Amino acid sequence: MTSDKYTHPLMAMHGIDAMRAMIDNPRNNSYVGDTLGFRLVKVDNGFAAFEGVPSDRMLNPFGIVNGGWALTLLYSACGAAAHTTLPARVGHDTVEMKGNLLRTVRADTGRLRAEAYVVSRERTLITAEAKLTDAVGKIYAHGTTTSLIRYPNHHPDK
Amino acid sequence: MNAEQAAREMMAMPGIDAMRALVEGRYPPPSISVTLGFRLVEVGDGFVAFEGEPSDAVLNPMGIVHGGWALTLIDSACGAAGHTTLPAGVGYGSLETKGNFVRQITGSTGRLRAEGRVLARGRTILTAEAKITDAGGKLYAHGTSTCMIIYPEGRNT
Repeated sequence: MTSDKYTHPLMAMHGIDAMRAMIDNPRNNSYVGDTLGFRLVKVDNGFAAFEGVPSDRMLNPFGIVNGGWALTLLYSACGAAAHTTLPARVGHDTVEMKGNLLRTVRADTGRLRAEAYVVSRERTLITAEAKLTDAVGKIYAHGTTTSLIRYPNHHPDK
Repeated sequence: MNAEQAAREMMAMPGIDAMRALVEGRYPPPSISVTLGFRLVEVGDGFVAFEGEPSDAVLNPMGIVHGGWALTLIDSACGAAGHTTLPAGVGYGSLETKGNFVRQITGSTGRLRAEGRVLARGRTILTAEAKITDAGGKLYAHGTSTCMIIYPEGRNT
């Protein structure tokens, strides 16, 4: 399934409502979330939290969870936090991300939570930061993203 | 052969031989590469290439390929390139990765290639860069990683 991102039904809503619709209806969860075992669990203005459980479907050749799993979770959290600040019909593209991987994630590490906050929201750019922690607050990874805001033609905020 | 046994055997080889064994299919592909649809296709000294085709399984809610797919490919290409420089018994972990997403990837983009190259190889830290391009050489994403070299206990070289 590929759809034009500017005509996607979720794009007709304010960003925070679209993110809430994803939490309320699991059918709105992304395929990548199903593939990698994580989902959006909480949003607020400029905030998003994802939870994920690593499994043996994402191991590198040496039997530990590929760093890309943590990076993908941080990326999603930052992207969702950024999206909560956007009015209807306005989208964003993440143009860069940097993540630090601090602790090894294993297939049996259990549930981890990625919380992201928007650091800066201007007319054209959004930056956000995220941390990946376990149930007792031990930190596994952290990262930041830069997103470019995309306005449709003739949008009043453009 | 199970993944645990494969990991043990590969760790006992020089890194470049372990990576070649993966290319030649002498060990099962790691589960991350099956889950995300890419595989190691070429290995040299300080160099690797992965090829992959993003599927519907890696789409974000807007129907485009999640940036984490490209980021995972960058992290894997940088790490595997670094691994080709390691002697037998020496491992590594990636400490940080930064990626730039310069062109949108969709479910119909087709086959992409990620080439990773080592930039610096010190005793403890190595850095590498990766680029993701299509068959025509068009650039989709690029990035760098920092990896820490992990020696078996008591060894420092």
